Amino acid sequence: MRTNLSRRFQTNQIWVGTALVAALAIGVLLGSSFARQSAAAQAAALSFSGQKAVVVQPVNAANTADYERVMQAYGETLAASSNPERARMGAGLQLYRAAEGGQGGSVLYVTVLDPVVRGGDYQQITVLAEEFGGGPPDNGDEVRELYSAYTEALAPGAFALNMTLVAEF
Amino acid sequence: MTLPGLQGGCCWWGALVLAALGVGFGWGATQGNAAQPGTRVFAADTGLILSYIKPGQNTAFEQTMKRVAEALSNSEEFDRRRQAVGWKVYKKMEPLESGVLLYISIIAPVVPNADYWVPQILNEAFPTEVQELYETYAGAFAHGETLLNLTPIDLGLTVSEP
Repeated sequence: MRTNLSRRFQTNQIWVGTALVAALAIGVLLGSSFARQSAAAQAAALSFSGQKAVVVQPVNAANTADYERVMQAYGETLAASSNPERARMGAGLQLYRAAEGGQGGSVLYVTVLDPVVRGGDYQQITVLAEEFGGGPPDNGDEVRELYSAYTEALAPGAFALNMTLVAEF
Repeated sequence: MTLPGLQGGCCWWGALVLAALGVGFGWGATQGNAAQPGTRVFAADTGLILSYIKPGQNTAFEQTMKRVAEALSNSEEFDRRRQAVGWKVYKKMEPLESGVLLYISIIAPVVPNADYWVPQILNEAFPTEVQELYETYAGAFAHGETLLNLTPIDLGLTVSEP
């Protein structure tokens, strides 16, 4: 009698243990999925509605090399993407540096998107987090470094223009 | 009483004065053009002009720019026609604060040393209309213009031929 009860108790313990481990594993999976969604949600989507778009971005003069490095990683990631929409976004991406300086000694960079891929999310950090270096989870450190370099390079006063063609000479 | 020697000298002096006047006029005219505040010459291969236009003046500005397109496209000067090839004008879809409209000229490629100053282009092509065109054009501006000389950054996005 005691032996039967003991076995039943042991069996129950195994079931409870298994259930706890399974719940823990499911929890980890759900949690990491939620964390990824949260990270993506932190960077607001950057989309354009015009035929063509221009983004004027002032950059701290000491950080121009970092800014160009991040934009190069961004452009290469777009162009190499297996997602056709992102590949088209990359094909239409051009980056310029203006000879004229911005406020506070900043350097003005002009990104031209021609043509705009409507509905495409151009947010740099989202593109880099999702696809740079083969994507997550192995690209975490590199993306964090790029993101840090990018945000430190930005100076205030950026603006984006959605444009429609008025006159083609 | 006239002295033949002096008479001949007067002719020479007169010629010299006229020559000096001509040289002086030519130099002065050149200096004037060089110092003209409206000159729009880009130093880079790509140029950007941001034009801030008063609310309600979009038609005036766009019509003037179409005359500029006409002037450049039909010009006898090769460089003027080249300017037409690389010049596109866009309008920002949403107005700025206070309803100001933003027009963006993207010039790619820039014609080296060419002047993109609109009144001068209009003056060359439509000398009899230029005053009216200029007044319409100048009156359309809210905050003037911003010019940017742009140098491309190589992003390494070479697209291979299929």
